[in-house]
Amino acid sequence: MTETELTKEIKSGSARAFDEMVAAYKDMVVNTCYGFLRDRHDAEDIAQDVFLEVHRSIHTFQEKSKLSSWLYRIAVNKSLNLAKKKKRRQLMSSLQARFGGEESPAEIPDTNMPNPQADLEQAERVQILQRAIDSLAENQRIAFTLSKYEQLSYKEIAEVMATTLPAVESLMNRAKMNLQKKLRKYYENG
Amino acid sequence: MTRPENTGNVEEQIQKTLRCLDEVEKAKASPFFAQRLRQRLADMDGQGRRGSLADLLMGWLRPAFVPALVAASVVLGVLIGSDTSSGSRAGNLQSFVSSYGLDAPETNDYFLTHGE
Repeated sequence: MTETELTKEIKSGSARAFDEMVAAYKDMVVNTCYGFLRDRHDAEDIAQDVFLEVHRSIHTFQEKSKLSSWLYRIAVNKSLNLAKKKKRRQLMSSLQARFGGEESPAEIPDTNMPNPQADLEQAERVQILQRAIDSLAENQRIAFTLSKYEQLSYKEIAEVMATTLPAVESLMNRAKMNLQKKLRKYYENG
Repeated sequence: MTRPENTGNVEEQIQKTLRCLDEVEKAKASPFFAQRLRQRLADMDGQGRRGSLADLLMGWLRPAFVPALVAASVVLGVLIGSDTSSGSRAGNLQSFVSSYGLDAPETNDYFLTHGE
């Protein structure tokens, strides 16, 4: 079934078509969410919310873009919203710990390495890089994450972000440049 | 966190760090992803259905229907009242008491049966 046919079937209320879409895109959505959240449980929960949102609002999807692009867009928005909420919560708990005298729970890194202990240096590098990515401007972060985690082409990223190809090229160049700058600052100070 | 040992030059460290992303494994949905989603959709549908039933009931309470509902209740009450004599009322009460065992002596039968 093509994407257009699948969309049409889902719009007509076919549960089978919806299941087919979930089967086809669930890994893509989970991985995209993971790229922004770096926590498997959160990524899975948000991916569920993405499909619930699709189920709720498929009638508003006008098929001006590909179904996959629409899914990416919802996944990015929901992931970034949760990432912001988590950041706020972390800030609050660290403030509470600082002023309330409580110890904040130790952060357990989810580095997605097959065996993090086997290569601690590598795990540390991943964390350093992830922090640098998180501190990029939002649109640079989106473009960079979609490119690196989902291996989307610049053209595909342009469709997801509803922008032009030159704009994505520029975002990617700036993202790489800023990452290098941040990493240089980190290593030079070390 | 400790910084990786700065043996090489900074540029080398940067390139090594940037290359980390090439080795990151893709995350995959859990085997229960679709099952869990189906459950959540079913829950959502249930809530939606309960909502539409409530909407339907509330629809009947719109001001336009209230006088009609009051009139229908009054007529129904009058009809039932005129059809019920005091004798039949006593008979109905007796049959209700017997049917539900309200006239039976108090025993602990219930606990004996269920307590075995």
